Amino acid sequence: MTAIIDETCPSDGAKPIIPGLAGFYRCAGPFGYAFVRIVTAALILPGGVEKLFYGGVYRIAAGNVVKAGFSEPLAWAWAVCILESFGALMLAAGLLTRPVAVAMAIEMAVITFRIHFGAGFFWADHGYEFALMLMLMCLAFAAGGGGRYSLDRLIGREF
Amino acid sequence: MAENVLPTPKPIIPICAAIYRPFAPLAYAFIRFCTGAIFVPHGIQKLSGGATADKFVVALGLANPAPWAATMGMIELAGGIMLALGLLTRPAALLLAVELLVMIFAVHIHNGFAWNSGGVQYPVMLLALCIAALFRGGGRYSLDRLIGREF
Repeated sequence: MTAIIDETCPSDGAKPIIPGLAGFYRCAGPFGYAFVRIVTAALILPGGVEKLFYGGVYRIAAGNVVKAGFSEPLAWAWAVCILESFGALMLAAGLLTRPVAVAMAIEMAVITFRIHFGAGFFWADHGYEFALMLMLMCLAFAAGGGGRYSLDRLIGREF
Repeated sequence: MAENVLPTPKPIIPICAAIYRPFAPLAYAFIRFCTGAIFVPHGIQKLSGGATADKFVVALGLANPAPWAATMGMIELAGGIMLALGLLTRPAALLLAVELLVMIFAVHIHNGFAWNSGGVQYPVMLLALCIAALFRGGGRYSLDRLIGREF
């Protein structure tokens, strides 16, 4: 066991200005990181399900994957499809968190820089900010790993 | 401080522990910083471009949108910077969360789920990030912690 300072549990160095809230912070604080990981994964999942069961994989194979400049578009489309469906489920559960997060960060980087970059930053104009935000969050999960509430921690081994 | 040090599983590739040890404690601060920073361009856009700069503000259909756009712009610019720095983290996160809730229920919910049709996907993600900051506060690497008091 390596002792890594775990930012996912509360560090009560600071006293709340409203002391009555300390109890809530102590209860809710440890869930912050897992909450972010689960919500991020849950928001990626519908796209994966659409690609897997509703023909989206062929749509992106003919569209965005080609636009991003990949040869063998159908193979890459399946990779994206599996990553956004099974990968998102694994990220939500915190199973092999770091490898999945790294793969997803790479996917989001490609989407950011090869698909949406030309449209500018703002999401109202189909810009890159949402893909960028997902990429940054996946980088955070790659750094932090599963954390306190994850299957990785339950199993006791992690990448 | 002792409770802040948890035994974490030994990595399957042991050498990776050397990479994880410096970076893992930064994960939350990184999430908080990115969340705050992503609001800043929106704040600048609304403050410099006025009520018509953001089509989602236009979609609110307000009779007198200028002061509301300016208010939202200030929340996004000041709140975003404060959240990024971890200064008054929880009040800043609360303001941003309220703004997001209003926008989600007034505008985005009518556009469905997908972000590229103006749906709830992206604002719900930002809302979740703000709620996490409400739960967690500034954390170890924040101005709140440096000052030693926090809301």
